[in-house]
Amino acid sequence: MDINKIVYWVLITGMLVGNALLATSVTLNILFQDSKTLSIMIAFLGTAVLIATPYVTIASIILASAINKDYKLLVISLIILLVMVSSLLFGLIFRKTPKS
Amino acid sequence: MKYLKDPKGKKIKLFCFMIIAITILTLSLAVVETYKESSSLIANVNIKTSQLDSVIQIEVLLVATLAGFFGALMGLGGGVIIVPVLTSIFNLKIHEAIAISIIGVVATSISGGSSYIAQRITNIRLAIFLETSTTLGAFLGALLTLIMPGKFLYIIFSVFAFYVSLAQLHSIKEEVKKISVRGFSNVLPDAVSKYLNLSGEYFDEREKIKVEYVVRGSIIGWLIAFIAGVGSGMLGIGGGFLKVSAMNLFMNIPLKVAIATSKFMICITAATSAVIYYVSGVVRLDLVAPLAVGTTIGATLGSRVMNKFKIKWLKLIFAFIMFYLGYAMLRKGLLLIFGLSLP
Repeated sequence: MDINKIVYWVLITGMLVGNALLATSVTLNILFQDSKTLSIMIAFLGTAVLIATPYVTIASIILASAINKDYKLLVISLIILLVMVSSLLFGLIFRKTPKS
Repeated sequence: MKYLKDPKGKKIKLFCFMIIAITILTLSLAVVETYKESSSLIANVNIKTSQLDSVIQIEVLLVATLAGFFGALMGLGGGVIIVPVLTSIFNLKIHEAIAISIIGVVATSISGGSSYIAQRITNIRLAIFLETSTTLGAFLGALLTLIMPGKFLYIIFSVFAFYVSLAQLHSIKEEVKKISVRGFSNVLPDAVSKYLNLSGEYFDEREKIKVEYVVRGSIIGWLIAFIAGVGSGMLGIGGGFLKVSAMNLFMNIPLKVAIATSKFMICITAATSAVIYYVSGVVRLDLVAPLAVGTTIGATLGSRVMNKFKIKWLKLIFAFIMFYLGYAMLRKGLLLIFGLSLP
């Protein structure tokens, strides 16, 4: 399995779906002043898709390296996903954001 | 490790599916939880957006396009342009600007990253290797913000940015020469690089030559990527300049590969940070939409022209941006620590 191709398609799909939702949100906001709530809801979903894309990318690298029996890549990708999920759980539990 | 030695690989696949299922469940939980908490936020934003001029959204879109273009061209996230503009021109609070910016960084790096992967410039194995330290650093940095301020990091990063700026100027001729005489492949890999098979190649469209390179200095690169991660977690910056510099100056990686690989890495680091802002409900959804769309357009354009640029010009632009970054961080650090205000 060509990991480059898989990663490319995951990123492209995430980018297109996320941006389509966000572009719809902008268009609604500019053209229809009374559809603010719908516009924000779509932006909420579009943002979720964008943030989830890198998670899915790492997950797809894990799957592809398992299929390719590339265990070195599998192990280091698993470490990344573990840290990413820990970060997500950390955010959910503590609700703390970096200060500037 | 027993599962990893399984010849049929069925247990490995099962294990991977379990891990991915847990990830999807956690992500779904995050979206549902955030949605519950955001009901009031959405209503609040709704009031704000009723006063939001459509012209402002178009202005944000244009600024984001510019940030996305330069971010893709230099392998940076673009936050260095977005945050000051949002705070100074659009009068947003700093934490709101950082939260919006980090979503924009995710958008631009997904777009730029995918384009470089299509052009076969990105080294995914190298990105994944360096990303282990960056994500660990980002996580540790986020934890550290609970017990200590990160303002001293501004001074350290500014010194590094000044050093990188000078080093890039100094290495212009050297890199051009190395590409023409195949100097990037005439070295021996270190043990880590050899074990993980990190070396690679790309086709330089400007020079019309296939450039092969051997990765070395993996440990130094790993440590610098860790520091970049800590900076990302503590200060909300992407740390792209640290990653590009570490790869190009210390790991024998051509600048174009360093830029493309950094761009892919930033999408993972930024998503790890962005999710914390997202679930905390501090993201202004009304401004995120034009910003993300704008950075995507800019990054798509930037990543298409990067490989056509002369190395000399890329290095000059990178050195200039590094100098500006170094000054900006020094100014901020001096202001936060000593109360000194530079022009």
